[in-house]
Amino acid sequence: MDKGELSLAAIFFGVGGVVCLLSLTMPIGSLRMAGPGFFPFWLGVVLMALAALLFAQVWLRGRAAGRPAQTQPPLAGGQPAAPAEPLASGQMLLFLGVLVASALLLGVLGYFLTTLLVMLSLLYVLGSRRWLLNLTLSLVTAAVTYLMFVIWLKIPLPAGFWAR
Amino acid sequence: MLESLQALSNGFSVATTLHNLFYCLLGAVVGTLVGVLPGVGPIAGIALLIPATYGLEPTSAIIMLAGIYYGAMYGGSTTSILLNVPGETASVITCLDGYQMAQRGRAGAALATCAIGSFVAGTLGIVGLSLLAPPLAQAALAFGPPEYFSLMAFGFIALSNVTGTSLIKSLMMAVAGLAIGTIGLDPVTGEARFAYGSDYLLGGIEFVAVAIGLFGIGEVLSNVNQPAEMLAQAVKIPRLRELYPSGQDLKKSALPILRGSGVGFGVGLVPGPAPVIATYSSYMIERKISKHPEQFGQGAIEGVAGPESANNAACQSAFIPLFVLGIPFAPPTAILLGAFLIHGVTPGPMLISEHPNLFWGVIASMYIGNFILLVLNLPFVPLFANILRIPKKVLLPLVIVFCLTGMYTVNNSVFDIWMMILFGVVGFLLRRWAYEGAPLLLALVLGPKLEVAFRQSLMISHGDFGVFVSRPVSLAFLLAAAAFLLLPLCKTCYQQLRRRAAE
Repeated sequence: MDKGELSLAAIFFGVGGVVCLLSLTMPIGSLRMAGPGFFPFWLGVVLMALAALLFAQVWLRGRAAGRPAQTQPPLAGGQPAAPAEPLASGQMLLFLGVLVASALLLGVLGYFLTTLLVMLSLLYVLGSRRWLLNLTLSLVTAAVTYLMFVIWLKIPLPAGFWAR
Repeated sequence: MLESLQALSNGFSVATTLHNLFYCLLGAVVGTLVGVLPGVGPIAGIALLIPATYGLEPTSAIIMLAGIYYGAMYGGSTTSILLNVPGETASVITCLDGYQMAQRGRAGAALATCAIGSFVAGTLGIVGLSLLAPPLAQAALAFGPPEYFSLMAFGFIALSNVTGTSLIKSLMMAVAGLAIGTIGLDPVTGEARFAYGSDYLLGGIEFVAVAIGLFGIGEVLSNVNQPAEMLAQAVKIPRLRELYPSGQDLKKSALPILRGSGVGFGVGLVPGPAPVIATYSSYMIERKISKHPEQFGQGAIEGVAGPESANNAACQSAFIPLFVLGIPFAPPTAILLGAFLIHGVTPGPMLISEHPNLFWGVIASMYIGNFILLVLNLPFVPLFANILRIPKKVLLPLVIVFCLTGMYTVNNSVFDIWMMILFGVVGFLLRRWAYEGAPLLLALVLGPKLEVAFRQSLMISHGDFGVFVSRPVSLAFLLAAAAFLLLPLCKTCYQQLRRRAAE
């Protein structure tokens, strides 16, 4: 049985429940004059119903297939994903980490420096070790995008802490 | 008819200003690039370039952004033929025979057939669009809230039915998208919903952040998660011996191109990822009516010409619901709707009469754009194919920098970047478990419209749901939606019964 598949259905069920509860804090109104909470409340209910349906479908399919759930041919209910591989590789998590760092640094270091660092670290994370090439590529990318947005399109980008 | 011709010639005078020609060319080039690069699709491409259009007039902006969409239909076939890797989902079918042709040393002929077929079908599609849009807009003037609600409900269900592997999952995505769309101001009463004092949430979740997150960052993360060897790989481009198909090739592909145009145009009018379905339908038709079906899959030129024409025609006719009803039926046109709204233009039945220069200017630019794309894709194909030599470990960081920069410039907001990263992770997870992002994005864009139509309908009818079935047009849409819902259910039951019987 695909545990990930079941957990995701359960998460969606929970999300639907939360949407319902939060909607109840707003006036629901009547059918004649629906309030702001009406639409989201029923969306939450439908989401819960669909998630429950999916959960049941995956559960029954897993049970019907017995132990080797993966050998089951894909039905209309979605295909069993390959379960052996890990959800995220270390490389992917590092990559994501750089993204998060870029959002944190953008306001502090400014656009040019942040972009430079993002390019350098992403190239490193993906296994590119030719430093001169990496540095040139990063400098060119940062400079070209900066010129394109700030000079040509006249869209301001964060300058960084020293500009204040 | 005569009026339309007159208006179209006005449109050409709008589209042929140097300024607009430049943006048409830019859109075509970016579209081809986006089409050539696997992993970067028209959705992320259009979303990323929306901020670049802020300083432009709406007409130039839409000319460029529309060019990206139909341009991607040209570029997508290049990698299918050369590498057996579809550049877009609309070019998956082209791999079957296109790659086989390349294996037999006929890559040039295949590429040229694609370009010519795309041009013919694209142009026929625009002719259909220019002829059909004005009368349809007239008809759509009679639509009230119940018709709009039923039409959108039909659109969601049809889209969910044809995307992904599971109808339930796709419907869940659509409902989740609608729920996300309720964040912000209530479109009817103007009250704040789910904002909790945050200015950002009050404005609603930025749909560009969701689009770039799901379709840009999510795709990149999935790519990064592959084994290292695959990232290091640079592709080898086969030599293009000659780029011109023989007379026999042209004779063989002429009819498939025309049939593909017809099929594609029809499919484009129906909700769903039209270009994808159009290619499948065209391929099936060509194989069925062929005198030598055994050649399909072995490099039959008909299997390239038909589908590649179909996706271009579908892409053009998919503009009809967007222009005429203001309701996009697939994510790329949904993004374009967002672009329209950002520029203060609301597409719908009144678009043609209220903004004739914009409407006819964009239509005229499509004729020009298709011609530009033909030129770009015949002699310059080797140039674009060379982009594929860039290894992924260089390409992916570049894509990320474009996503970050593009996202920031939409609202000059770091919060948008956080949203984009969040939806990137969500997109990665959903992809892992075979959920489709398309219904979510469409629902997010259409959500407020759907809610307004629903609540207004009930106000008109004093809370009576009968209003949706007592009006014939609305009833027809709902019946179609019901058919789409029940069809896969019946199919599953039938399969289950047969399995039981077999055991």
